[in-house]
Amino acid sequence: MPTFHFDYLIIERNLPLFLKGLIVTIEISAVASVATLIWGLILLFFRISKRKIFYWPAMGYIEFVRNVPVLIQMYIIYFGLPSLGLTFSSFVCGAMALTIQNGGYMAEIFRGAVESISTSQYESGFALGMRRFLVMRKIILPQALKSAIPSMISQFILLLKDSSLASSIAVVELTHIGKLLTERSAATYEVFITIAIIYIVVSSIMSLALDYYERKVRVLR
Amino acid sequence: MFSLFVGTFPHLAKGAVNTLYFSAVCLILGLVIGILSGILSVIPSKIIRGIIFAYIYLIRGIPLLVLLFLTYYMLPLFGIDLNAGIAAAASISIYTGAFISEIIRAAINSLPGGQTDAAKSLGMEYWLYMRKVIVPQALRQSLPPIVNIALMCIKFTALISIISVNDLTLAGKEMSEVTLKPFHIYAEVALIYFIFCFSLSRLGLYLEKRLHYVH
Repeated sequence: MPTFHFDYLIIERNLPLFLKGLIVTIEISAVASVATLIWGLILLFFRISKRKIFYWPAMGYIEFVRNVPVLIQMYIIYFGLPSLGLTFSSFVCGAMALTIQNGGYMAEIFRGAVESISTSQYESGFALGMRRFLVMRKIILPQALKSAIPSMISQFILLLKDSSLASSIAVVELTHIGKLLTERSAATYEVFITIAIIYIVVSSIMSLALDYYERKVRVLR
Repeated sequence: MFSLFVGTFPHLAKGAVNTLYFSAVCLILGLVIGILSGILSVIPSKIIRGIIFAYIYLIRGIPLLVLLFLTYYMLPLFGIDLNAGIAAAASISIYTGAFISEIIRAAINSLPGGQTDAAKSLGMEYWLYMRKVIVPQALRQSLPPIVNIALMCIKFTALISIISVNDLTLAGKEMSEVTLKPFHIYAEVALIYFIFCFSLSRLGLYLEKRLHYVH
């Protein structure tokens, strides 16, 4: 029978270190989330455009990020770009890779939301003499983005979990702290159980916020 | 530059074969775990449903990388010496199993209630009609999403390079250190992954069209 000895002291002594890692994780996730929103909107316009010159690059981009693992995208940016002359810090590389990956998914979420708006909205706009872009800006997008918020927050939760991959690009976030601590001390599984608990708590908080928002929206309707 | 691609291809190809093999193993194990827990998640027993719910909640709340490290370091507790391959296979299977379990559960719940009513009116007891009526239909319905999971599985196996299991990503790392042209090598690796995953997604679309029947 193996000995399940749980060394609490290591966890207690290193709580500030866990906190620092958690802060970096939240930082990189927040930066990447904001960038993903903006990049996803830009991609959306390319994706729903009727002109082939906009549509095909967007489709190619989305297929690329869907079919290539996030880790490879991170390695291309972190290891590959410097050989082409573009060097960024590891934090920026991680944030860029997360934005590139999730921007594609976000564009698809936005597209689904926009396509769910009934055509009568478009028709009313055109009947008032608005051109297509104005209709999009004033009528369609506000409704679509509001209805897409639950999917967006789910995607942000996934982004938070993908941020753990940045540990392999030397971003000192929560998972990287775990690797450092296991190398320093002998308390291997205690460290990672603690890290797992921290991730579960953070993603649970975000899921609860999502549930609260969904319930509030449903009541108002 | 072309000679670079041709020269590194054999090494990358070995890694690619390993990746495919590993993904297949993890997918099969994940299917077993996922289908079992999917069926168990609709059982009338609250205790079992609670256990399955806890399993899925915990597994989906942590990143795959953390699960990989956790399994890797918890293996010695169960007597197995630190074997990165077993840890990787176990954690990816468990992670994939959680996704598949959710799909199976959704498929079972989406079946019309008339199926269970008809089965009960014929006098079938729970496990009999689960086995003969519900599960076969649910499995057939969940085949397209499961192809999507297989695609995700290939992407998951890219992480095992971090605990030094031989796969396409690790081969790419080694090649980029040998040739000192990381951008080209990783672009080549990305292309190989793209070919695998894109073909799988087209296969999924084809299956979805073929299996589509009017209710």
